Amino acid sequence: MPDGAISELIQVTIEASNTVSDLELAAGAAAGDVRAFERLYELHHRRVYSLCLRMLGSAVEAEDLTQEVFLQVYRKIGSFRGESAFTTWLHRLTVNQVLMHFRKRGVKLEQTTEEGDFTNVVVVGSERPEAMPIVDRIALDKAISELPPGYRTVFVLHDVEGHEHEEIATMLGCSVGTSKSQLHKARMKLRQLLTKKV
Amino acid sequence: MATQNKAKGKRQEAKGNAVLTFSFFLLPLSLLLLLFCVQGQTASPNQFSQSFKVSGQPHLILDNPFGSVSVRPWNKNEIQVLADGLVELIKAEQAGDNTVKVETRKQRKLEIVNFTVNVPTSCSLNIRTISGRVVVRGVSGEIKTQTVDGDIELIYIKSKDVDATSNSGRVTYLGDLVAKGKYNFHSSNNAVDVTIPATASFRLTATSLRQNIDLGDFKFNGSSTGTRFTGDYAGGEAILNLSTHQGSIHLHKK
Amino acid sequence: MICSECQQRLSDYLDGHLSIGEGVRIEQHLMSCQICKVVHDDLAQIIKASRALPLHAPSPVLWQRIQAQITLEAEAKPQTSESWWGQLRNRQFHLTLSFPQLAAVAAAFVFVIASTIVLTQLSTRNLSSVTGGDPNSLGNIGRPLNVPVLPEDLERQVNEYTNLVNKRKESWDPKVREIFERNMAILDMSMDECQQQLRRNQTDQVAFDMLRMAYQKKLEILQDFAAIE
Repeated sequence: MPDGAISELIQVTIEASNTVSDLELAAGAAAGDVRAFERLYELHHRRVYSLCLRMLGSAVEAEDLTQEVFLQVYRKIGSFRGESAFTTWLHRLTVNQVLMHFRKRGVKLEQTTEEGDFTNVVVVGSERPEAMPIVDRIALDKAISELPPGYRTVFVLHDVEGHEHEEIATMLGCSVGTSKSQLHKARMKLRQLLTKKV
Repeated sequence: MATQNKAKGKRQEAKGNAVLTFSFFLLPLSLLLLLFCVQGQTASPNQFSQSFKVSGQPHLILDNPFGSVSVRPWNKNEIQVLADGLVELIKAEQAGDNTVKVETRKQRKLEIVNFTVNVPTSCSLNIRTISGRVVVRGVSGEIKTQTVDGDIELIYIKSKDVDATSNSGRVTYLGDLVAKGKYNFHSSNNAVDVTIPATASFRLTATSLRQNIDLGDFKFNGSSTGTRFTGDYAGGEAILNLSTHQGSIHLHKK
Repeated sequence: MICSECQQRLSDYLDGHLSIGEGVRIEQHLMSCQICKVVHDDLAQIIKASRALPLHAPSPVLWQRIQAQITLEAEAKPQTSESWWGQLRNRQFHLTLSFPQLAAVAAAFVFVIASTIVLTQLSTRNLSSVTGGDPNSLGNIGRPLNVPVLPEDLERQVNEYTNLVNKRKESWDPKVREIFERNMAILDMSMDECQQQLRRNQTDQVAFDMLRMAYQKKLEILQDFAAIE
């Protein structure tokens, strides 16, 4: 069996075992077992927090929202039946909380462009454009936090979290074309931010 | 003796020279020091000043959490924003030809910034503070002002639309009630004090949970439930709403 | 193909959303255009790096805060064994109906719903409009018809912002906290007084208007303080 297939099998097995244990933990938490709920928190809180942090750009707000997400999990855990993976259910809940938070704050996700922001096309000139330096993760995280909310949301959902444009369009109430266009603009803006940091 | 006198004279001359020399250097030093002091007074690092040329119907939006706001009219087509305090927190910008937005960043620490703004008379205003007194004089544009903890004073106002609310500050109005105008004054916990011309024509709704309503010398055609009075005065052309939860309402004739 | 056309499509190209023909055109352009090649490589790097971003961890006290809230909620909830409704909810049902049977059930369902709506509209047509209350809202069922009701959304928002601000205020300057708490106490007192008046007389419109105003003011003040960094 090729190496790649072995590691994939191992990964699937790990995920499968986690899935089974997530379901058991969820059942335990629904029955009032706080230790089961705490274990769920231990397994998943970093992912929830990271998503909130990248979408909101603020550590304080991300913590508040992470707390709210897990309180919602606690309240709604009885309704989780295992039809999807627990991580999927939790992820959807987190994204919904973030979008609600934006709505409450009146953040308009269509505020994507800044005045004079022409990030779509590299100026064609006689000089060769500078290539970006090798991207380090800290610089990328910082650059993501500097994106306008609309770009940041689509970018995080697509490139970081792996959602397809159809899902993103449904979540944000926009068209697939808008989602694609905002993603491209976000990537070009990130390129601009990362190139400036040389 | 003559030699002694000569020597004495020479010593005195030397002394005099020393004094002169000393003064020669001392005087410019003193002047320099004086200049420095004067400069120090006029070039304070904690002052803010920015002017915006406006045209058409000017509009000022000002959000200052902690500190006072004083607005005065002048006859220039400019909005001039002056402030003192932690001025690094201030962001002032113009949006379009006629709107100026000023905002002081909200911080966990209580940093006071006090504003004085000079505006064209017809300027409309939207002013918010958390803990800061708001004083507006002589403006005829629409006024909307809200404070949590600061008094609001609107003096010599001739506007068609005024909305002034405070949670624990006193709300005072001295001005006209223009025909078909709307006027709303509220303080949750303090006095609402309104002085208007005897010739005003308005429909009044005055609400006080503790039934603390004093209508002064005005004689109305209306009715009361104790906590709310409703009535017309001289034809009821403008709308005047006064309300308070635990405070008091006072209506005066100018 | 010109550069602007190529660069506009680079994201779709990298994500595999272009048709074969368009993909080929992009590739041909990239082979001969150094500028667009650089942009392509940079975007590819960003995409690859984004997929491998590390997870961040919140502060360790977050779990303690969650635990404290859960404990509060658990203590507030009455301890009962699973109710018949819970048992019903957890039971799995399997339905086997033929298509004509399903259609008949659906038609009957629609008829019942439509009748309910029509009858409800007829009975509420004569209701006077109430400030802030929807006579047809669920909140009014069981109440006398002319008793006003606060908008649900207003109360919910006040509760949400209260929770948010209460978490944050410990980090504020004590003077800021004092201003906040003093003004909240004023509004809470106003609301209590209004509610007392409403208990005495459910149809007291003045008390209701002032209660609604107090809620609105409270929400505005909470929003102001929630914006403190």
